[in-house]
Amino acid sequence: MRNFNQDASRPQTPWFGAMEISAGTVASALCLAGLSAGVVFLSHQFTQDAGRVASIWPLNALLLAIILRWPGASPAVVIAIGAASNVAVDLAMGDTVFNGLALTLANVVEMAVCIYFLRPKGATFDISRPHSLLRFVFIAGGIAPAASAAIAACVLTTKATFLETLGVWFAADALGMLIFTPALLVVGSTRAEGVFPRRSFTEWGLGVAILVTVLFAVFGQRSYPLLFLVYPVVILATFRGGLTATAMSILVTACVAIWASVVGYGPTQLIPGSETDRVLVLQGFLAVMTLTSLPVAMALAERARASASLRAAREEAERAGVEARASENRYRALADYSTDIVVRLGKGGIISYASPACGILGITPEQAVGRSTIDFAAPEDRAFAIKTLEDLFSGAEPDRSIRREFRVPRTDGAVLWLEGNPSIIRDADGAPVEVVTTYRDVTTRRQLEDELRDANLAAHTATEAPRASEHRFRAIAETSRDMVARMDMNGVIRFVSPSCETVMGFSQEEMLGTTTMAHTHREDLEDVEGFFAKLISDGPNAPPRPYTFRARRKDGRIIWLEGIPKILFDEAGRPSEIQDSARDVTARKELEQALAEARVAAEAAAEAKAEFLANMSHELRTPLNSIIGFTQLLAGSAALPQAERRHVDLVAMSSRSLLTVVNDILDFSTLDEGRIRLEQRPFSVGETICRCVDSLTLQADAKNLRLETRLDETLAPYLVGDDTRLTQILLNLIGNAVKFTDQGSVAISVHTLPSVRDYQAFRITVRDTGIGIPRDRLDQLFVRFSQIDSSINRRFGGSGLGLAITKGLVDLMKGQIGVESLLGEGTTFWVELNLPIARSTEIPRPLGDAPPAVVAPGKKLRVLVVDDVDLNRELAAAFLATSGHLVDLASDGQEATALVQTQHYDIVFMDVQMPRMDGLTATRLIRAIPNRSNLPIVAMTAQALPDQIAACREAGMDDYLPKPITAESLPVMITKWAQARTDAKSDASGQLDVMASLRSRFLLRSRDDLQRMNELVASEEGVVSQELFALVHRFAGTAGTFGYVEAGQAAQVIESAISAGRAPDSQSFEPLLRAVESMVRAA
Amino acid sequence: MSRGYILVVDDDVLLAELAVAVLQPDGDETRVAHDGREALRVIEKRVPDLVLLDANMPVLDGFGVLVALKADPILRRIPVIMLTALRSEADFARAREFKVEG
Repeated sequence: MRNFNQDASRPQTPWFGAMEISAGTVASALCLAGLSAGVVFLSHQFTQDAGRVASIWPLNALLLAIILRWPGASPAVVIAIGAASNVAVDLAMGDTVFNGLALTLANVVEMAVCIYFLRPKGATFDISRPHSLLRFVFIAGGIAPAASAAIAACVLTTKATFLETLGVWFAADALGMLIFTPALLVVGSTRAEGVFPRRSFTEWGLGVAILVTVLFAVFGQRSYPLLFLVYPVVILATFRGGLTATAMSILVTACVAIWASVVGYGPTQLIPGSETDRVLVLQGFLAVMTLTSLPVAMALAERARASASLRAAREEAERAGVEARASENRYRALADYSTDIVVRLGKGGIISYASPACGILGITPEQAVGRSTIDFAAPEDRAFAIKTLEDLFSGAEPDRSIRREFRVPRTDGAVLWLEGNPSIIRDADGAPVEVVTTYRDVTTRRQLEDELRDANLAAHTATEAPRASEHRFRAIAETSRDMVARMDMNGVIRFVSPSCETVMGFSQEEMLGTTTMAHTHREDLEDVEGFFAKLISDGPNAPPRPYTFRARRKDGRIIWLEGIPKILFDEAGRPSEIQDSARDVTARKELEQALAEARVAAEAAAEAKAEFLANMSHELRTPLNSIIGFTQLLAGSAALPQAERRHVDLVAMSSRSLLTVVNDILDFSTLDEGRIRLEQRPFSVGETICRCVDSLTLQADAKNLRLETRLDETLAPYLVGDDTRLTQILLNLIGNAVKFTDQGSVAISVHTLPSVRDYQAFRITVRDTGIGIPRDRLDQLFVRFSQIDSSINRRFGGSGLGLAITKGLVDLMKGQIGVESLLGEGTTFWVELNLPIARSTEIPRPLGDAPPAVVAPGKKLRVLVVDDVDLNRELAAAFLATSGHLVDLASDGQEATALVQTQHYDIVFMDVQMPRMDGLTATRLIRAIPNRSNLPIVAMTAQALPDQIAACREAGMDDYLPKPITAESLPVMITKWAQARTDAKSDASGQLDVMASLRSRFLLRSRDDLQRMNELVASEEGVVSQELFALVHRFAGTAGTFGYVEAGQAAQVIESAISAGRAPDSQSFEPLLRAVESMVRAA
Repeated sequence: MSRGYILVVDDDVLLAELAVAVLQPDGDETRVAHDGREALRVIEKRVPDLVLLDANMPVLDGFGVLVALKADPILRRIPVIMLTALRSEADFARAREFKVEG
């Protein structure tokens, strides 16, 4: 067709375009001119009847189509050619020059308007876009024809009216545009056709046939208005043939319709009115058809295009996917069979693929996927692994010169060295997206490298060491006062230093060649040989150890030598010679021995003394206990007159002091030997202090002293320690303060100190306003047996041990104790302790919940007191009697056991040391008795040492009371152990249990009785033996009690019969036997 | 109930234990003897406030105990309750002879 060559790279102007003048161009121009002329002529020819104006005007449509379709075409040229033809034909047909030019000008204006609006700045016009189609309709079918119509109407005023001319001109131009331009633009356009499915030749033929038939049917007659039949055909063309078919059918229809109409055929003939009217109506029909079917065709084309591209894209993707998979399989095949581990890593080293070779690490690929390579590296190489990964993913190409070696532990614990060789997979922008690494096991390689290195090093040092050693040795040997010698492995002395003369009396020459054994004392030979054997077996790296032995000097004197030998080994690890440096240590040895002997003697003496003390204190305490106890009882007696009461009080006071002294002595001796063990119990410091202060209130009040207590609030409420011992310390310090203060006050305060976590450090201060202590005596205070001076002792009493014991206890608690004092003004004692803070679970119940210290009135318990000493028994009984308990006494274990067997007791107090049978044995026997395992047994013992107490517990005792017993200690024990029991027993449920157990025992017995009765009844016919009677009698008496009324009654019947003298036969026993049987079976 | 010391005498162990179980929770001290002779021994050691006495026992039966008790000027004052299955008139009569309390 017309091809105006265009150079796409050259800028195009809207009007002129870029055109090369060539032969082709000229030919095209000429063709166009001819075509234009023809069109103009035909238009006029066909429609001349209504005046000057042609009612069909396709020229402009044609020109516009050309311009819009070929962007390279210069619109100016095309319009010019058209215009020229137009003018020429017009003139040829008899128009005046003016008319011809003017009318042509109108057409040109029309064209200009169209082009200006439809193709601004040379942009291409795509009519298939709805927006463009709309614009086309509006401009080319509206504004442009209107403009040209206006001009034409102004010019042509002769033959018809202005409006008429305007109307026809407008309609012709507009309709022409609307019918022809879109179709011409679309037909054959590649853009439109693109992906429309190819229809078969048959279909095309069929379509054409249908079109022709319809057109003939419609326009070949003039009787029926069958214009509407055209529409379906065009729509068919649209759906089956696409844009091209649509355009083609429109154009064909237009031509046929117009020609038919002109020659007087077709449905338009039915329209009344002028030919112009008919033609215009026809054009209207054609225009509407065009404007409706083309958009539909375009839409369908669009849809087909879209689905085609979707399909294409899908196929593309599939193809790509297949390719990718194939490629992956190829790689996988490579990776799987490689002995190196091939790994694909994402960021962070996350493994997305691992080849089966990872089995050398003892893991499967599945176990590796998802984890990071960093996890697999040994901890010491982890940082290096992280750095390596970072470098790889940073984007730079991996540095090939560095060795990426990592230690990787195997699952069995062995460690392999792996060397990694990475390749980076990048995405389209060159950023690293994945890393593929092969890891090779280089463990053996490294091992070899290490061995080589070590061998080199060893070879180097091996030559150096002996030489250096030789130099050193000689230097020492010459100068040392110790005897330095070298021996071979047989003990033959190869070298000895000159000092041997001083030490051994022999000269160097005399010693050389002799053996060390020859000089060694006979008794030490074995030890020495053993020592050396051990030294040799320890090997080359053994540190030097000293040994001592006796040697004989030349003059026969025996001396002690201490040597520090070193054994030299050769390269093969065999001992080659012995170097020794020996010193005369005779003096030291003798001293050591003397010391050892002295120590043994001292220890023995200390032991004896301690034992003596312990025994003595026991001997002292027992009678003291009686004194105190009985005087207490005496004091409690109401019948005592004033003076006698006073005497008794004094006796009580003195005996208590004496007891304190004795206790101190015992305490001290156990403390001395470290035999005191501190308890670890949660307790409250505040409570302990308050208790101590309370117990001293009486004495303080008597002297008119103020007792003040201040506790630091930040003190932890409960600490873990021995509150008994702390009480002892506090009683001592506060008691001393009270004792040595005549007026004023004693202030006890507790301050917290900076403490470690979970510990509480604190300081207790006891400040008094007493007589004070002279400065030069302060350091003597804590030493035992000392009191400031003897006058104090006479005035204040005391054993002088108190502070020493206190210090001992404080030391045991790992605390500090100190004192400050000003003579005449007062003294301050302070104790610093650091105790763990009790965990909340350990805190004891608050005192309010504690069982009452006094036995609830009305509960009398049965108590057994076992003690071989009459006095103690009596005392205990007296104490208990005041509370109203029922007391039994036994004098040894045997008696006690017998009593416990038959009698029921709520609690037993058992002395431990007794003749005939002691407390522990008795306890064990008692525990063996069936239902006595619950019986509380409390030991009474003078020696409350930890081992003793453990032994008591082991024998089965529940608690222990230290002797001497006080009036309070017994009731406390009773409350603690027996109260709970009797309370439990008095439960109704307790009683029910007892009944139940008795009943079951009754049933058991009845079963045996029944068997016996059956036997007896069967064997003794007519005679009732004593045994049978007894059995019957038993049933008579007990069955009813346990609820078995029937059996009881049956038994009673028989019993009465027997006692009445009537001997029952076996028959009459039946009811009883049956009753008992059912009773037993029901159980 | 008074807090007293009760002696239970019965040769049937089960019955004796039953009696103890019933009496004990009230705080009474109880003691058990399984035959008459043992009962007398126990009474000699310590005088009970009450004696529960079974009639039928080996060695020395309840009546025997009664005889011994009533013969002693101090012991005769001890109240005795007899526990027995014997219901015959003769027995009752015998018991009344001894001025048994119940």
